[in-house]
Amino acid sequence: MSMDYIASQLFNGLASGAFYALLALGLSVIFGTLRIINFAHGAMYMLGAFATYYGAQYLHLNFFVALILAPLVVALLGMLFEALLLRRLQGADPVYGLLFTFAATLVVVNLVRLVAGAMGSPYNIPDALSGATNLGFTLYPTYKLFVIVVSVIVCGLIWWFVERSMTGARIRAATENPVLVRALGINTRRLVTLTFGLGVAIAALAGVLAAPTTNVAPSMGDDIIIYTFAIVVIGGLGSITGSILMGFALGVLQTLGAVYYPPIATTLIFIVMVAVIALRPSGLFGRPELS
Amino acid sequence: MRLSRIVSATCAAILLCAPLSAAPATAADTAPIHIAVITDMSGVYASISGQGAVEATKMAVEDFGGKVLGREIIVDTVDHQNSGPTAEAKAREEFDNGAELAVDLTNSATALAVAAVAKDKHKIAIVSGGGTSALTGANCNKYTYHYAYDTYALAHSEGVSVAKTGLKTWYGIVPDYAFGKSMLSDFTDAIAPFGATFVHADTMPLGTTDFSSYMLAAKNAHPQVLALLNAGADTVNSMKAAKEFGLDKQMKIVVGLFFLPQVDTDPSLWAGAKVADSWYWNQTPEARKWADRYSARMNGARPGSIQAADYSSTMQWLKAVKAVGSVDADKVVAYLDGRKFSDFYAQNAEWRARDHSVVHDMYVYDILPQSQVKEKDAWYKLVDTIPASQAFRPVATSTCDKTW
Repeated sequence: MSMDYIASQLFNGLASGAFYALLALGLSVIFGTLRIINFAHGAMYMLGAFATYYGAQYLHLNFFVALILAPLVVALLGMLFEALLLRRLQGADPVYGLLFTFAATLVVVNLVRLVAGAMGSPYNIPDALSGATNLGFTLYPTYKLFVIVVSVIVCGLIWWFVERSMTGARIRAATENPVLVRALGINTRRLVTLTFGLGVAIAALAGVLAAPTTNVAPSMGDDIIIYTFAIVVIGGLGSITGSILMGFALGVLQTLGAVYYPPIATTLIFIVMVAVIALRPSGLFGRPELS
Repeated sequence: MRLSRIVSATCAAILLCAPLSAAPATAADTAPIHIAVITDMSGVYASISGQGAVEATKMAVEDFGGKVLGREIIVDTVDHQNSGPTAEAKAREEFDNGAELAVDLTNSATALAVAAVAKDKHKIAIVSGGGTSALTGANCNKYTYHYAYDTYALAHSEGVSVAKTGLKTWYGIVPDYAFGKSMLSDFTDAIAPFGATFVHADTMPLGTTDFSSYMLAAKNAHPQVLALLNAGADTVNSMKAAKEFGLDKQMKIVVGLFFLPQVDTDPSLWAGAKVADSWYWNQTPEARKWADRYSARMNGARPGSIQAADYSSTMQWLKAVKAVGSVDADKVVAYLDGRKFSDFYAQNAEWRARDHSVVHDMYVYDILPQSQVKEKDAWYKLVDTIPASQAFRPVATSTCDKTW
């Protein structure tokens, strides 16, 4: 196997990891604040893709507009969902949150199936990003490079926002000690809803990015969300850094698996997960639980 | 909050499914005769079968006059939800409640499950949707016929049609389960006589989300043909990845299992691909005539091959029942076995007695680009007709252990 072939495959891994990183990041942002494992994350990803498809179909929105608009629309739906329903489970056993979001997933997926059918809807790579780019050592699909770049930028911005900005500090404080934060005059409710919206928006963004290269179908979130859960567990539940780094790393690992021994490719992530749970249950970047 | 608790809760959430069943029994010689259309009404196969399959079966009943042997015929819609156990439980219920025939059976797992019930209950099942060649091989039985296509027929029509044009090096994209493996072995056998071989075949799990690495590997191997031997969303995703890496410009792409309604998932994606099927609505004047009637009932949608096969097989069964003067499965089987026929769906067809494969001519089509499509859903261009004797597994090599 030549070096440029391996290098191209590494780019494939990064492109695949770009989706994992965005989805895992969104899950972590939500878990970090709400302490809820959002099973509906795959459905939000799917809604992002469908918002893109319908935006193009009925409003003639191009891909770049959808890239901004679709996450906003889906985030709005997500915030309504949080404020009206999910909020009621605050403080309950995490199992309730999981079951509730699982049920919500079934409802959403089947509603979309009723409207759009189960088989899939067409969406193509935008002309501006089609074709290949010369990387020096090889020609590589431009769209995949675009996905990697967008993902890296968004992940970086979110990381900075949560870990370094003032608002991020408030969000983290609201998680650690909501009573104290409220006493300081900060509206923690609104903070929680907005943070949930942020997590959902990131998932929807991944959905927009996936629309041109994946079958836009109601079930599209089902497969990828399982890997994402594993990645979040590996990176450490609620760890922003862990989610991003492990998203990209495991995307690459999975691709290398596909190159050298395809039957094991998708299992690799779970093998790593089992090892991490056995050796470091709080995840590679997670802090051991205090409670 | 404990991590282990969260992980076990996740597992519990994944296991939240179980089917229910009940089965009382009644029967009388004046009671209505039920025909059960057992299929996927809301899942991924609903557009290639689903409501269209039910409507096509009803058309056959209406065209026959709505009655046979003086008894009313009722078509039951049974949603198997793509689950073998559900299909089995519901088929039992149907057969116990007056159904004499089960048709469609899209999805191989449900087809095999219902075939076993038919054998057990001595009622007839005619499979048009499921593709596994096990139905006429290892799992063959007296009461089950395989009507439309199987993996062997797909390989021996499409594989042969492409291999005989001189394309010798093939690259396979194969999902890692029974269907994928039988597709690969059937295609390998089909193209071998033409000196064509699979230089490599990548086997990946069902539901692989990213096919890029496989496409890059395929591109690097420089084959003349890329064979996508998968189904459903896997086919769409692998085709999208193939086009993204420009493979369609370097090699012929063969899609192993494809049905006309799937073109709607993305017309520009499928343009230029080669597919095999048992029927196309705009193929002959008779086919077209039937398709027009079907479309009038289905909001303009054109029928796919499975739906046409459901009509054809139901009509064949009704004629057999009338001829023998009984719905008794043994008598109907005795009548059908060895019978030859042609209709708007099947050409040069035979109800083969040896393995209960209903053989007929198969066809290979090119999917046209939108610019060449003259009317709605007229996506196919016929490029090859494979005679029944060559398309289906010869009796001499049948793996059916005939015990009846």
